[in-house]
Amino acid sequence: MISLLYVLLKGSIMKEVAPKFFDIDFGTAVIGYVLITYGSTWAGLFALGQGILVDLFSVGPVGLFSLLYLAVFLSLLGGCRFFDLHSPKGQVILICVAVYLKELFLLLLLLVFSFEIPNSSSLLILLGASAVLTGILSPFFFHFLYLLRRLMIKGLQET
Amino acid sequence: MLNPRRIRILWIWIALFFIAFILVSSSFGKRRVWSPLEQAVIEITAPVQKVIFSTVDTVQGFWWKYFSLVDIRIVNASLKKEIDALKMENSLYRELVAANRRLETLLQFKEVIHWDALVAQVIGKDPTGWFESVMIDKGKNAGLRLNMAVVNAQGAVGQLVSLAPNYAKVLLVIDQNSAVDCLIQRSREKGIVKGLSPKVCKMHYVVKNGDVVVGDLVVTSGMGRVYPKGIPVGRVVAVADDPWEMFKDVKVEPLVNFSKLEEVLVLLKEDPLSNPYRFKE
Repeated sequence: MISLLYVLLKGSIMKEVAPKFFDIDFGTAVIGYVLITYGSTWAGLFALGQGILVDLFSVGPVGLFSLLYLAVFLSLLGGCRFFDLHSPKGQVILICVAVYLKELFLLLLLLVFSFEIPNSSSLLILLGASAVLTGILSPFFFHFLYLLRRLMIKGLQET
Repeated sequence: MLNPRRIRILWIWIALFFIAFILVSSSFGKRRVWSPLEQAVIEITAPVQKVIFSTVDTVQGFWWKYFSLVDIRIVNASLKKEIDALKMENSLYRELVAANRRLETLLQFKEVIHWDALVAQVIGKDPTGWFESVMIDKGKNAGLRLNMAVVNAQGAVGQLVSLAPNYAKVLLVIDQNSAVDCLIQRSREKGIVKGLSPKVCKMHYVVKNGDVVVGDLVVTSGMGRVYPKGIPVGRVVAVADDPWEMFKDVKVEPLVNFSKLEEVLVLLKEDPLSNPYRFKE
């Protein structure tokens, strides 16, 4: 639900406040959260679902974001061997790296599929800034998701 | 028969009325001045009256200020609620007025072109930072088909690229993957407008000796089989002539404000080559 809301709201909010190609991607953080909470199978499925959802609402080639979010999932899964995704430090590093890799992979895919990419020197900087900012914000987002889960469990127990 | 007691009471009443009548008739036309006796009575009774009045006033004040205020909190809350509701209503009315103005402009535009068009509401924007598209609230059920042109009163907005029964996705002209066959209205120089950023597009393939100056209006040529001829796209904001390039570097600022896109017109014709863009005389 959060992911769906995020995808639906993201376009309207981010386009108003951020420059083009600046993409704070909490979708990656949600994949990370699902990975440490529900395991790799659910995280993989969630990544695929999220990608399909973004593909539906975006005008990019079909399957592009499904592939990208699967790549994000794989990079997080691999990254978990070196960093602890439960700790804020690990979250910042892993999410930052995963988002930056995702953006670079997207750039590569668009070039491969002959999509027009503006030759802007600031593009890589913008992508880096989005990755760093997403990484820095991710511990707060993880905390929010933990809190939400706790509240939901409490609500379920009460009912 | 009246008994003697009643007759006596009657006489007393008559006497009292007579005294009162005498008093009234004697004071007619004269200024009312207290006699020394009256003054003395007043001097004695007035302080008592003063105390009674102030007591009553205090009690009354106390009543109004405290006891009667018990309901005021409820009334206040109710009034606040009412104010909030009225504010909301006012805001809705303002929104309706604004929507009405926008729709009126669209309607005027629709009347200018001889083309069946359908008004649609923008309901969402592209969730990625990479592409420029919007979702509209009309789809196949409303008669929309792929590649139909989408415009508003300012000019070209985009074209339909995906359709659902009740929704459609519009690729905006500011997307880097959109290409609109255009010409300079004044000199009829041709080129293809592609998105560069949300504020600027680039007009590609404008020949070196082409007559293009800053301020020229760029309109659709009608050659791309999507847009009818003559729809405004933007205004030239910069022209550069690089000796190492084959074509002129022409930057175009779109006329449509894409960040404030709310209602659009979908032109319900799939083949615009018949040049249907005829202005009313």
